[in-house]
Amino acid sequence: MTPRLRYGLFGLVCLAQIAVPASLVVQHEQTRAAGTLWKFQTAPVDPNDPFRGRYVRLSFAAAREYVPFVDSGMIYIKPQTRMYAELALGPDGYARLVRLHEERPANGEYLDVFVRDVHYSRGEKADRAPPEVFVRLPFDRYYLPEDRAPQVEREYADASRSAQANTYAEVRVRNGHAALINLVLDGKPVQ
Amino acid sequence: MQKEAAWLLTELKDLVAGGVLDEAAAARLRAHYAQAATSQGFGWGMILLAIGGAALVGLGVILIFAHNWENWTPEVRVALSLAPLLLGQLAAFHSLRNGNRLWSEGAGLFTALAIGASIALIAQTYQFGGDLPRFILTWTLLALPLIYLLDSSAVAAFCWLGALGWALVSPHEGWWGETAQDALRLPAFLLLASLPLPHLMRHIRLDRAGARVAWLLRVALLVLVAGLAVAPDHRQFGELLFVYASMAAAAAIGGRLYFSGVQGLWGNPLQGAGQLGVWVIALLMTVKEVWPEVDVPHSTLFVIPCVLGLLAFWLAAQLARREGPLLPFVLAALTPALFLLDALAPQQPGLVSMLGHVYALALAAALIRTGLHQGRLGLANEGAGLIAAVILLRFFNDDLSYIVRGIGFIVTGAGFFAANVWLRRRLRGAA
Repeated sequence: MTPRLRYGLFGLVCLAQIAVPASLVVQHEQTRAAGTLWKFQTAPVDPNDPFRGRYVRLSFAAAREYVPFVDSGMIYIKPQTRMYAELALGPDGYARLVRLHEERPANGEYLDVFVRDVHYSRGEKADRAPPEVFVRLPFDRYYLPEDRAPQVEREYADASRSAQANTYAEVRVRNGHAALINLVLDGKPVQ
Repeated sequence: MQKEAAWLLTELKDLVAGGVLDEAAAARLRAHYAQAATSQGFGWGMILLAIGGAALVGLGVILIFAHNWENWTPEVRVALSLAPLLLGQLAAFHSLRNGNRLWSEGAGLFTALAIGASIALIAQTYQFGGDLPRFILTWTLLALPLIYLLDSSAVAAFCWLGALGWALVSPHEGWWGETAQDALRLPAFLLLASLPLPHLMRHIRLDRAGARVAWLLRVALLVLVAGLAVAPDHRQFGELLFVYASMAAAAAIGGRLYFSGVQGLWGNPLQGAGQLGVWVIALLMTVKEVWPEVDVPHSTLFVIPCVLGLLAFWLAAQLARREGPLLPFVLAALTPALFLLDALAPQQPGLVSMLGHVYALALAAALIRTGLHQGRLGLANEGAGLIAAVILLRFFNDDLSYIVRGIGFIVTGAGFFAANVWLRRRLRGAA
């Protein structure tokens, strides 16, 4: 390998190494700036799932409901498959996942999600209802300063269990990409 | 190599004075080894210090950032997240220009660590969800070119560990049936683990007796053995014995063939690990409780024992030309013996137990005979040790009283010592 080629390749590798974190920043900044704001109501976390270092583990009501899969082409849906969930505003003002697509929808608001579990209906093929898919949302943790995190974890667990609590995550969504902006516990944003 | 070359140069004067070499031959040797004796001037201690220093500085910088993290704006955090990576790249560029081995290893590892730190810190700043397998895969793939650009063995070891980390954290999805992702995990792990192999092959060609090759082989073997235990689906655990048997046989013979005479078994990890593996699997073959747990590979894993089993026979044929057919072909027979015994196990458990003992004792006899033939007490002792282990295992395995077991242990131990003394005398006599 000639020195010139070696330096050229080194330059390309350096660019690629910087491009990965830089592209995360750019995509996120674009979503924060131009994305639509949605509120995702939180749900209690598994009490056996311990606090993990510097972040609070989040769980959402929208991810606990099965979402109908509307594209009929796919017979068997594999776990971890990337899909696209159409977003709609519920009567309570919180975001709902209303339909799931195999391909990116041409219009409307949607979110990139991953398949966790699938329920197939029984009966003849022609009569079958669309499969109901259980998804994982792409935002499931909220990072905090080390000394604040345990307290917020407790507040989050208490507020998520209360039916009346006004507890949600503010998420901006643009072209399927989600940017978690804030966690609001009982009406007060976590700082 | 450098140490050995320096030693040889100091010996040349005495060799000429003693009439072993003439002056012309000594001059040719001096000219040939002079460069190797003085090249680079860095020992492994210096290189390990550079690697450890780079790792500690990298981690220290990250911890200092982390301590004050919440006091900075997102823009400052992004700049600080990318700073270690840029610093590492500058150091890597410097090492690329001066070709210094110490810099290459240190800067390569620092940059590799900084890639992961940058991505993780930015993910934390922007509250990204966690996808650990994808993060480790991205990190490993971005570090990988540094192996070849900087000729950095530390980065090669890092990438192997990255491949193992990826296999460890990749979720196993299918409980009732193997999903496509489950089926792809093993080939993907093998592909990822094979990417630093050309670096290892290059250094084997340059200096197979060097410490660099020995360390690379140790890491590669460790990662391969551990990765094969975690990458396949959980229902494939019973098939792993076939995989390990073929790996052990091929490694033991390949190590003898390509690295013979290299600083004992520690300096020859391929042969050392392979022989240990063959020894352990031969012992397991004599235990009847093992067979119900063993399954013939029926999935993607099936390819490995077939390919490596055939490779072991090919290597044995090469080695047989040099040191006789006995030990190479007994070692290579491990994988087919395993297939045969597993096929017989459901109908003929008694026969399987007997054949398992026959293989273990044949291996022990081949080790003793080859050890005596080549004047290597260690090899002969391995054979005597295997016989003692088979006997002791029977005493543990079978339902015998403590008195009988105690007497059995004493007799076996005494027999082992007696065999050792006999082997020593035979070897002295042969010398």
